[in-house]
This record gives sequence, structure tokens and C-alpha cells, in this order.
Amino acid sequence: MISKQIIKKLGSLKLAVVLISVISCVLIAATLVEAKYSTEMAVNLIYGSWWFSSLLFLLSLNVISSALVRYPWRRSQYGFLMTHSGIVIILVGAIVGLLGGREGYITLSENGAAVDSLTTGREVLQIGRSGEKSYLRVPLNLDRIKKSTAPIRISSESILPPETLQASIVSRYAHTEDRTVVSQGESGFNPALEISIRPPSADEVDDIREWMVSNDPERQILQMGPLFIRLMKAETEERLQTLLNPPAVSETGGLGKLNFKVEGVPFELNVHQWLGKEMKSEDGKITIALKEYFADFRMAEEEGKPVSASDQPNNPAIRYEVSWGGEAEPKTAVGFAFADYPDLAMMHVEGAGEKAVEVLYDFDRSMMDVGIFAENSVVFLIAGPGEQLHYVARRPGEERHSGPVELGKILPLEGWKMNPGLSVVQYLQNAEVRQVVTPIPLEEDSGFSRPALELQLTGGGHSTNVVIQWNRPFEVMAGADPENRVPVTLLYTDERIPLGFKVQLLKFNMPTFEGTQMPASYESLIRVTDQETGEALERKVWMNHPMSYGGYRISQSGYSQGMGAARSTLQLLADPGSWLKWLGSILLMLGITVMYFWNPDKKKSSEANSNKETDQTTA
Amino acid sequence: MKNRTFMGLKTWALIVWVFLAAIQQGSGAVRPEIPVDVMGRLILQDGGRKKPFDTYSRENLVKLTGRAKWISPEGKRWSAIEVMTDLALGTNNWLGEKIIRIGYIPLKEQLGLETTEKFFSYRDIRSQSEVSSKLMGILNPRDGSTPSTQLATEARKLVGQLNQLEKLTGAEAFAWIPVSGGGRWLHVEDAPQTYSTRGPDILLAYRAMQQAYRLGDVPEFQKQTRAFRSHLESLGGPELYPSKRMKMELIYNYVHPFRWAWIVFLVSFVLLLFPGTSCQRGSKSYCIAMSLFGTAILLQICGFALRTLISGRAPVTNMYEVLIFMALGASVIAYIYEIMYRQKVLVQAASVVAALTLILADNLPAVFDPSIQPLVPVLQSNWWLTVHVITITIGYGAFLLAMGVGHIAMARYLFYTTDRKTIDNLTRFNYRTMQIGVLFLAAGTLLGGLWAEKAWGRFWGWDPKETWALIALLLYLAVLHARYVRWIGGFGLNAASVLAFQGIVMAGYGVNYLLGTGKHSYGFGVGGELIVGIFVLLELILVLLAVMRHKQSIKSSKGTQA
Repeated sequence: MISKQIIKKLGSLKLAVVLISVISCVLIAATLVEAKYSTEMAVNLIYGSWWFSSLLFLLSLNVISSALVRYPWRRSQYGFLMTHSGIVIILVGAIVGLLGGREGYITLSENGAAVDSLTTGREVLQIGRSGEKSYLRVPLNLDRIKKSTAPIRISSESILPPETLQASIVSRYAHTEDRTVVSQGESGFNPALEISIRPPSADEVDDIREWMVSNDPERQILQMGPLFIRLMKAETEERLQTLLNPPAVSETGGLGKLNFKVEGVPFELNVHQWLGKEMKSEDGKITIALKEYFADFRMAEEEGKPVSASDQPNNPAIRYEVSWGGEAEPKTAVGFAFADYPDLAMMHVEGAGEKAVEVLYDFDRSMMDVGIFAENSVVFLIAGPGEQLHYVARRPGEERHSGPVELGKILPLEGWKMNPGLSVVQYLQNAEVRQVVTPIPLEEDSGFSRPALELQLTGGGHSTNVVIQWNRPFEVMAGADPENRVPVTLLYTDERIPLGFKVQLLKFNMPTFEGTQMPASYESLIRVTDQETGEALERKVWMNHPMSYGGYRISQSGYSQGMGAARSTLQLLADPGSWLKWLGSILLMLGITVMYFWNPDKKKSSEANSNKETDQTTA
Repeated sequence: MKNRTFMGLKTWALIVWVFLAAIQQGSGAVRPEIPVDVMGRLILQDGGRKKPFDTYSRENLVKLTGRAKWISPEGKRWSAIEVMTDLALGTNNWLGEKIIRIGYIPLKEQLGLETTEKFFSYRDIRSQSEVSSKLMGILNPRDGSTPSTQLATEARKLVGQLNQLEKLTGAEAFAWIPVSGGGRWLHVEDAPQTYSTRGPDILLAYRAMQQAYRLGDVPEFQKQTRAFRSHLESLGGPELYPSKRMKMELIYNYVHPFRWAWIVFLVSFVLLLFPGTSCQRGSKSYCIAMSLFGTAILLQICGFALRTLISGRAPVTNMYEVLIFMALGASVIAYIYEIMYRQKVLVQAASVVAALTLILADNLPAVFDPSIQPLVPVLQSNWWLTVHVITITIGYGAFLLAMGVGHIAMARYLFYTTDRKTIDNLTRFNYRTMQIGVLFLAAGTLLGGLWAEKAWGRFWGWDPKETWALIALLLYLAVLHARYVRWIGGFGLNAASVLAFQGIVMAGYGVNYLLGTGKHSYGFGVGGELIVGIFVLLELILVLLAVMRHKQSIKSSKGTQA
């Protein structure tokens, strides 16, 4: 009885008029907010708010109830019923779309790599065990993070064992920068020097201080105008001596030497002499071929193969092949030897153990005389072995001179026209380098900066605050039991949704209206490949002509042309509720037509009606 | 020998004429007394399409002067094609002519210009370093502040006018020579390079045409212009130089179907004021009025047909086209009513609102741009575009008619003692018209959603345009439902039909011209705030007065009953 009363109230026309009026006013306010401020503001304040959704929910209750109240329905009410069910179906479609829909963008370069996931424009925090594929995706509500004073807890039980790690979001910084902090650690030999530069001519100015770290390629070389400073490490006394007294270029041909040990048998090959040739041992059992020389070794990202980025010996490397063991037991080793990274073994051995072949590429003996170093003033700082510290310095066209370095004392480079006033302040043998992230105010324009998230991590009884930067994986050892800790990786990044298929841009086209630069169309020729079956489709996507694939509607959204390859941005939208919207719309349109313009009782009652002075309402 | 003397004479005459023109420069441009309509059929490439010189002239003059004609300070009337022909062929110095209209008074104040003047010359602004630097100062303020948006908009518009005039005084503006393959058309001087065989002849014909114009030699000018055109036609097929299609555009330009439509509507309205409701009963005025009303509808349909043929798509892409379509919608609905129910008052209402809407569209070319533009990529879907916009606009048209009926009712409340029967009749048809409006507006809005779903998968996105269409729809739904529960009576419904129409004004005009955000940006424009503002204000005052009067009459009728 009571429920009938409630439905009657809910379905009343008066409530309908009030609701419609209120919703109209709210919408007017929303469009004004959007025009005055921004679309995001209107969405945050109104369209996306809980109370606006409640209003729409109330409206649909009103629409449903008003239909239920009138049961059993007469023939003349069919139009009214269709109209109202159309409205409800559209609203249900909206809810289905909201819950199950996915949308985002992919940006493709012409003939570039295929993309298999879309970015939604939202930010997420990913938490997962290091090295494992599955991870927890926490969508971030930036507005909430901004407003909230207390840390926002994230429940990570679904991906990590309970009590392993409890993370809470403390705050988000729009801009951060990292500072390098170098300290003495317990790990291996990794010399680091804090150097100071203060030219005597500029004694009013503070000195420039910088850390140089020998294991970090970005911190090995420091350039100060025409002066190059390079930090090198010498593990042994013997290496120190070769670094201090390198043989002349004429002896090495400028490309250094390769020292091989094949099953304990040593070989020394002058690269200049042997490049592109095969060297056979005296018994003919061992063959060494130096295949290729890379002055500036890089892995080319797109082709996935090594290239030389320049002809400067910034990262000299040799590709070699060694074969031995004869026909009965053929053994081969192929790989790369790096002059600057003797520890980095990129070698593939077949038929023998990993340690069967040892390679050392001795390039740096003549480094001072080739490439950038040949034409500039150069100071090599040589750290090791142990606490020893030496320097070798040379100006172009002059003899090199060398000597020991005393901490805190300016290097004796008096003969130089521009004395850099270089001194070593600190020397750490086993350096550990950490990046410390500090938030910086928005106004400050420091060139490159990135957003970061400050987290409070709790586990094993204590908690720490860490700042993790955009797109930089952050690893922590988590777990209550110190013996059994789990490596956990945290990543603050764009939300990405895997598509299940790959999209590649073959060609982007922008025809213009005749005689103008005005675009007449934007057309992307794309190839879509199913990741499971490998089936590929090629389609042209342009305005009003989207492609439907895998539940998504793929449509042209943006482009950029100019420098380099053309780029095209496609919008991908999956809406599982779209058929409801079509159905609801059609029902609604039919319903209004029937309701207003078709009266089944009219023929019978037309006589009676014609005399009536009051308005005719068929609903 | 004879010929040479003749040429010599011509040259002499030219020199004298140029000299005279130079003397007269201070006192305004001299118009050679020569009919230049023959120029109108030449074709130019502009704004991404080919158009007759006639259209090019009209569009440019509207851009410069905001008017269809220019009246020189001496009071001489120049048509658009006369001004543009003179720019192309003549010797007048147009940079010194007061041809640039600045309407916005704060801008004139800011620039230190005479606020009572409406027209200024290029030199008045660009050659006065003070004015020129002030103009730049408005656009790029030194303190980095953002100037009041309308001032900046008007300043930007002025810079556009100045640049356009500067361009028109150079040869680059007149790209007469067609180039195949969608490339940029060439100036006549470049013809010999591109077309080695016909090029020299083209250039010669052009020079002869120019000379004849300067000399005022009418037959020679017409002959040479035709020769020039036929040379150009012979460069490629009708695809390259579509003279026939351009003819259609010329007819459209000259006939002015929409202007004639509002004139005919007004005449028919006046005749409808005479008594008589049927042809059979021998009421001549009614008979003529109804035929005129039908003629006006036919004129509008012809106008639409021409625009469709010219542009190759349904004419439903900007505010101008929406306005004229609304007028058509309102008048057609009223005509059908008249045929079915014999409701003369509806035709009266329709003829007024249709005429007013057409007058508005016809007389504000700077606000409601009547030019035909190529279709932006996002709209390039003929079926959806046509169905979606036409449906919505018919809805607008119905509400326009309802608003007109509402006005008649308001007038009755205000100025006549309430005749219940008439009012009830008006109310009934107003209600019915609003139902038609609701059907079409709802269908049009939903069709827009379905189009968006088809085109990129999003049915609804709270875009300001669609939100306002929904608001307008909801307003009318509130009215219809309130009427259904008898919260409002006949008076309320009529008043509401006037008030709710302001929602349509906002959805149609406001979103494009005032809010200026969202996905429907291709229809955006500026200007007209004052006129629309006054209209809305007057409507509110009218309804308020009627409400007061209505209350008074209820009181007095109660008083007499008591």
C-alpha cells in the first residue's frame, strides 16, 4: 500500500515539472561555467558530480513511476509509454556506457611502431611485483589528492600478500627536478670525484662543483667550454701505467687493441690492422674475425640493431667472431667488446662455457689523440687503484703532462692560457649515486621537469615517504620478514588500456580546399592487426568515416605535420551501451509522434471533441 | 595608318584621364560611367572554391563596409561589383577612400578617431603612426594584460579589413587564370609563363579590357571582357572553368529570393488584416494574401534549391542558413494549418515572424554571414548533416510560430477585453504547435547524438550546443507538462511560448555567438549582441506587462462577480 503511495508520489506530474525545471537551471549554470572557466571545471562541478547523477536518477524514477501508475494501459497511452521507455532506455544506456565504456587516444607516426594500448589521459599508479606482468592499477583522482589533507590509502592486497606494503598517496607535485646525491657505499669499485672549477680570473664568483662518477656514462665526461674533463678508473697498477703513458697513435692506428683469451690462449690484435680480416692462430685451430667497428655505439631504437651515432669515438665498440675447436667440435663466440665498459659482456657462446673467451678492448690508450679530445684541452682524471689519484692533461698541439692529484689543491696547469682552476674536492672509491627528487614551484621554469607523486610506504613496522617521478619505475624491497622480502615496483604513469590488437599508421593525408591551406579532410590509412590471430586489415579512417573494430570505434581526432614523420591521433571509444541509445532514441521519436499525432480513439469521439472548447491532449 | 592614329588618341585620352583622376584624388574616387555587370561572370578562386566575380565582390564589400553598397563621401552610390572592378582595373587610389567601416564606438575612442564618423580610409589608420600604434597596442598590450574581449575582437576585425583592402589594391587578389589539379590560380601577368600558346592572348585581352575600362569605352569593354572570358574557358573543360554553374550563382545573387520573400510576407500580412477567411466567400484580399503567402514560401524554396545547387550540399551549416530555414519552417507549418483547420490568425503570425527573421538575416551580413563556404571536414556527411540540422531547424521554426501566436495572444490580453473564445482557440493551436516543435527538436537532438555515435562513438558529451538544445527542449517540456496538470492556464501557456523561445534564441544564437566554446565551433561568429539583447528585453517587458494586465482583469472580473 505504502509502496503504491510512494510510486504515485514519485510518478506525479508535478514532480516532473519541478525536476525538469531544476535540471534546466542546473544545465544553464553548467554551460555558463564551461564558457567562463573550462570544460573540466563544468565536468568536475556539475556533469560529473554525484548530485547531478542523482537528479538524473530521480528523473528516470519519475519517468518509470509515471508509467507504472497508469497501469493497466489504454491504447491511447501507447505513445506515452513508448516515449517514457525511450527516455529510460537511453539513461540505462548511459549508465552501461559509463561503467563498461573505454575511451582514449593513440598517437601514431607515419610508418612508425604499432601501438597496442590506448592512453585515457588519466594518471595511474601501478603497483606490482618486480618482473611480473600483472600489476594493480590505481586511477588517480588529482582533484581529490589536491583537496585531501590526510594521505589516501591504497589497498594493494589484491596483488601483494597482506601486510607486505601499505601505500598511501600524500601529495602530487606538478613539477619536480632531481638532484644527484653521491655517497660512500658498500658496493664495488666505482670511483666518484667531486670537482671544483674556479678560474683565477673570476675570484668573486662561487666555484662550480660537480660530481663525476666513473660507472655512469652521463657523468664520466664533463665539458666546460673548450675543456674536456674525463674520469677513468684503473683497477690495477698496470692499467694505471698504460693510462699515464699511452703509446702513440701511430702504434695503434688510432683504434686501439683487442686482447682475447680463448681457452686461456692470449691474443692481441691491433684493430686498425685486423678490422675486416680474419686472424688464424699458428696451429690454425683458432680464428678471430673483427667484423665491424663502431666509433659511437648505440642501439638504434626503431631498427633494433646497433649503429654508430657519429664518427667520434665516444663509445668505441668492436663486433667480433671467434671460432675454434675444429670441425669435430665447432665452438663459436660472437659479441661486442666495449672500450669504455670492460665489464659489459655482450657475448653469445656456442659449444663451450661462458668463460671460454675473454675480451678486453683497449682503446683509451690513444683516446686523448682522437675524436673530440684531439682538438680540445683535455684533463683525464685517473682514479685507482686504491686511494691513488692521477691526472693527465694536454692542450692541442702540446705535449701531455701528468702527475698525482692532491685533494683540495688546484691542478698545476699554469702553462695554460686559460687556467680552469680545477681541483678535486672529494674522492669516493665505492660511490653510490642516488637521485633525490624535489618539488619546484610552478612558476619556476627550469626547462625539463616532470610531475611526481609523494607516497607514504608502510611495511615491516616502519614507514617512509618517497617521491616517485613520472614514468620512472621505483623499486622497493617490501615485506614484514626481513629474510623474505619481495621486490615491488611502483610506477606513476599514464593510464593505458591494452586493446587486444595493434594499430599502425601507414599514411596520413590532408587534402586542402583548392588554392588554400585550409584542410578539406584528415585521412589516416591504418593497419589493424589482431594480436591473437594475426589477421590484419587496412582501412582509411577520416572524419565521419570511423572504423569499427574489437568493440571500439576508431576515429580521426588530430594530427601534426612538419618536422619529421607526420603524426596522427586517433580516438578509440568503446561503448557497450550504444545499442541501447539507438533503441531508446528510436522509441522516443516514435513515441512522441504517436502520442501527439495519432489518436486511436479519435474516430469514435471526434464528434464529441469538436464541440469542446478546451485543449485536446492525447497523452 | 588610321589605326595607329586611333590608338594614339586612345593613349592620349588615357593619359589625360589619369591626370584628371590624379588631380581629383583628394576629392574621392571617380567612377567611370560604365556598366560593369559583364565582369560578374568571370570566375575567381577564393576561400577554397570557385566563385563568380560578382559573389567575390559582394563578399569583399561586406567585409570592408558591412554593407552591400558603398556610398562615397560625395554621395555617389557604388555597387559592390563597381568598387571591385575599379580596384582590379581602375586607377583610383582606394587606400585613400573612406571605405572601412568601424562600428564599435569604444574602438574608435581607443584609437582617437572621430566617434561620429562611420567610415575611414586605410590611410586614416595605417598612415597615422599614432592610430596605427594604438591599434597594435590593443592587440598586443605591453603589460601583458588581456584586453576586453570585444575590443580585441573588433580590433582584430579592423586589422582584417585593412589587410583585405591592402591585398585588393595589389594584383595578387585577382587570380583570374585557372590552374588544373586544385592548385592556386594565377594572376594574369603569369598567364604567358604557364600557358605558352594561349597565355599571351589572355594577357592582351586583359590589357585591352583594362584600357577600355579606363577610357569608359562601353562596347569595347564588353567585347574585351567577353573575349577574356572565352579565352579562359578554352583553357580547360567546364570542370576547370564552370561558367554554367556560376550562372546559377549569379541568378541567386541578382534575384535575392530571400529578400523578395520577406517583402511578399509583409504584403500578405497587411492584406490578411482585412476581414475574410475564404476564397469561396468572395474575399479578394484573403485570396491574394494567401497566394502571396504561398509565393513567399515558393521563393524561399527556390532560394534553398539554388544554394543547394551552388554549394552541392544542403544549406544548413551556418547561422544565416538556420535563420532562413526557421522562417521557412514556421511559414510551412502555418500554411498546412490553414489548409487543414482554416486558422487565419496562424498565417498572420507566421507572415510576421517569418518576415522579421528574414529581415534580420538579410540585413546583418557582418553578423550572419550569407556567403557560401566549403564544408569543414567534421560536417562532411551529407545525409546526417541534412537530417540532423533540418529536423532541429523545423523544430525551431515551430517554436518561432508558437512565439508569434503567443504574441498575438499577449496583444489580445493587453489591448482588447479578453474574448475567451478567441483566446482558447489561440491557446489550442499554440499548444499544438509547441508539440510539433517538441517532436522535431527532440528528434533533431537525438539524431545529432546518433550522428556523433556513428562518427566517433560518443552519443552524448555535454557539449554546450547539445546541452542548450536539451535545455530548450526541457523548457518546452516543462511548459507542456505544467499545462497538462493545469498549473498554467491559457494565459500561462501563451506567455510561456514567448518566454521559452528565449531558450531557442540561446540555443541557436547564444551558444555560437556568446558562449563560444564546444565542438560546434564551425558555426561560431561575433556581433549582434545588441539587437538580440534588445529583443530579449522587449519580450520580457511585454510578458511582464501582459501578466500585470491579466491579473488586473482577473481581479476586476472577480470584483464584478462579487
